Amino acid sequence: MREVVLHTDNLSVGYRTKKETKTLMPEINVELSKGQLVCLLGQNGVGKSSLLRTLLNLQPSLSGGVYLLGKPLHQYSNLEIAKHVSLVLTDPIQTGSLTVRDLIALGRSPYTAWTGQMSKADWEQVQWAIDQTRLNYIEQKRLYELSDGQLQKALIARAIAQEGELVILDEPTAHLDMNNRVEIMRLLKELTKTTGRAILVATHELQLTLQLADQLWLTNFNRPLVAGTPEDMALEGKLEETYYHEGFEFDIKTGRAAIPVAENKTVRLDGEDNWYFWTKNALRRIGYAIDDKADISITQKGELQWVLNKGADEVITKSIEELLGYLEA
Amino acid sequence: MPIETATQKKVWNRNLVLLLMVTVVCFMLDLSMGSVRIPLSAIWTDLMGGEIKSSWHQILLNFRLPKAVTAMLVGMGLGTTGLLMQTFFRNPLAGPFVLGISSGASLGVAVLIMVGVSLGFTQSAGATALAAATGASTVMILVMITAMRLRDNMSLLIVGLMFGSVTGAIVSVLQFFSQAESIQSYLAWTFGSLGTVTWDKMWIFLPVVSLGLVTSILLLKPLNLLLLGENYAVSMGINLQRTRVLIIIVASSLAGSITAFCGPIAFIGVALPHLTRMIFNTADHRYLFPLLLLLGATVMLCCDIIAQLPGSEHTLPINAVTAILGAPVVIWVIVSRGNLKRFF
Repeated sequence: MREVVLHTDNLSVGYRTKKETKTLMPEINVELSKGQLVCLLGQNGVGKSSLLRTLLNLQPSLSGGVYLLGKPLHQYSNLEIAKHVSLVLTDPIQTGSLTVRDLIALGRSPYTAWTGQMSKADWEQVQWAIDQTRLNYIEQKRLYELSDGQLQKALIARAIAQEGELVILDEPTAHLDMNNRVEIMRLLKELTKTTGRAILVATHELQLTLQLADQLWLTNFNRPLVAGTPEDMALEGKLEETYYHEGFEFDIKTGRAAIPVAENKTVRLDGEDNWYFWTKNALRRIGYAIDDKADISITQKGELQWVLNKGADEVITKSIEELLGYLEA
Repeated sequence: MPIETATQKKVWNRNLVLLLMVTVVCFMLDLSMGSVRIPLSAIWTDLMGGEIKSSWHQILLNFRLPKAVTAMLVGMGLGTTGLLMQTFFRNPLAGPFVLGISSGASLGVAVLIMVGVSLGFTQSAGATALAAATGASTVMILVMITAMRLRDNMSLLIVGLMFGSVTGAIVSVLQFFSQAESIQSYLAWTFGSLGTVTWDKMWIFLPVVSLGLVTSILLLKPLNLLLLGENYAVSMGINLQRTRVLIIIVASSLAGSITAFCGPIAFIGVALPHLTRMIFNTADHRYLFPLLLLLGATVMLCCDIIAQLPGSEHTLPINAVTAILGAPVVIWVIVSRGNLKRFF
């Protein structure tokens, strides 16, 4: 039996100014359950951040409602929400002198009195959050000393220390390197299991979410939000709709964007798999299509050798760079 | 540093006690120094209720003691305002003057001296304080109205600076059309003075500054949360609007009352929070605040001692001392500690 933490009822997200009402996302009906990793995908500017802000009561909804543990969100005070929902935002942290442990300890503030005095139980919760995120090795470091990846994990630990049923993250992997992106997404998945929380992530990590997310929320311009497992979304063609872009094709399975290039020359290519793949990749970049009847031919000779036949000439090269040099000459 | 273990607590206590002792020593020295040098032993006897030379007793009671108390209140008040502003705006350059409050006070005084006097008002110390307070609170109300309408602090910071520029410009216009004597007497006020708060004014000055300092204690936890920025602070349950209003009221009344009574004392408000953070290496306001109070009191007492030019008949304006001696100290601390960012 799934335990629903948050659900929406015909929620409409957008802005209302004196002059006009701009709806970004109409009629959203979704729910978040404990122990689930839900990823919110969509292009820049589609309204992901607005949706998150509305779910957090930081921005008024245009119509419809958000329910936290079955109760309308607007009936909660700020402090009560803080006890159920914690955040990781994209806002830069401008306090370098805090230690990682200090930062995580701030997560306990909804539970401390006006003096901010931490109890032993509060410190235990901080330690638990540190253990869960495996930050023990840097807990005494100051924030200005951390790499972007470490800082992001520390912010996640702070959110975990804040307890509650739901953690919401806004693009936690933006400007991280590949390893850190994988590690952060894996950590979030792991945390849904170890802490039993619902975790909602707005992200652009399509490939990782396909592997890790329990649910996808797909957003599109001028279309209702759709939710479901990644596989259903793929089979129903919803993912393709979300990632449709004029000018190039996007392969959902590989995450590879096929960028069209003007292939106005042809070449014949023979060789084993890996060699063939990368040579073709390079040839395509400089405008060569593969054609068995072409006048120019390139064949593999040895593991890293290219034999180029151009009319009567034959050249043997030891790198693709060298090969391209001859072709473009 | 979070104070979690007994050892950390011990270090903090030790720092606090050490600093308290330094403050007491500076306080005694400040009472002793001046155009008439009063030996420390005599001060001690007097404080304990013993008999000393009656002229010394008069000097101590009516001049030195209120001046030393004022120095401490100024140091504590301006330091606290600086801390509030720096955390609130997340800007290391923020200080008591960013909201335009002090400029408002200056405008009040300028209007009194350059316009009021010619209309028959007298330029007594009391009238000056009143004029400064009126100017400061007018700007404070304007800032509050603006703060209600603006969502982010950065805009508020810029608006505050604009208020400052406008009031500064009005003062310039007034100066342009004024007699040399009134300009000089306005300039004399801008030099700052700790000696204007006599006992009869102390009964206003002391409660106002104390109230501001005590109210700051309520703000220590929200300030810690604001270290991560407004959005995070709200997500951890603070009432942002209430916190903003309280911070502005406390900062304005501290900066406003101090400027009203002692003139626009420069620099201390920006420098003290940095000095405290760098010396004691903590970002936690709950531990920073008491240290800042003591350090603020100590620094202002030292500035006053130097302003007396011990051994000479002359005194320097307090504003000159805070800047000429204070700025190099801060530069030295920053350079020797490396990057300011590590401590902010």
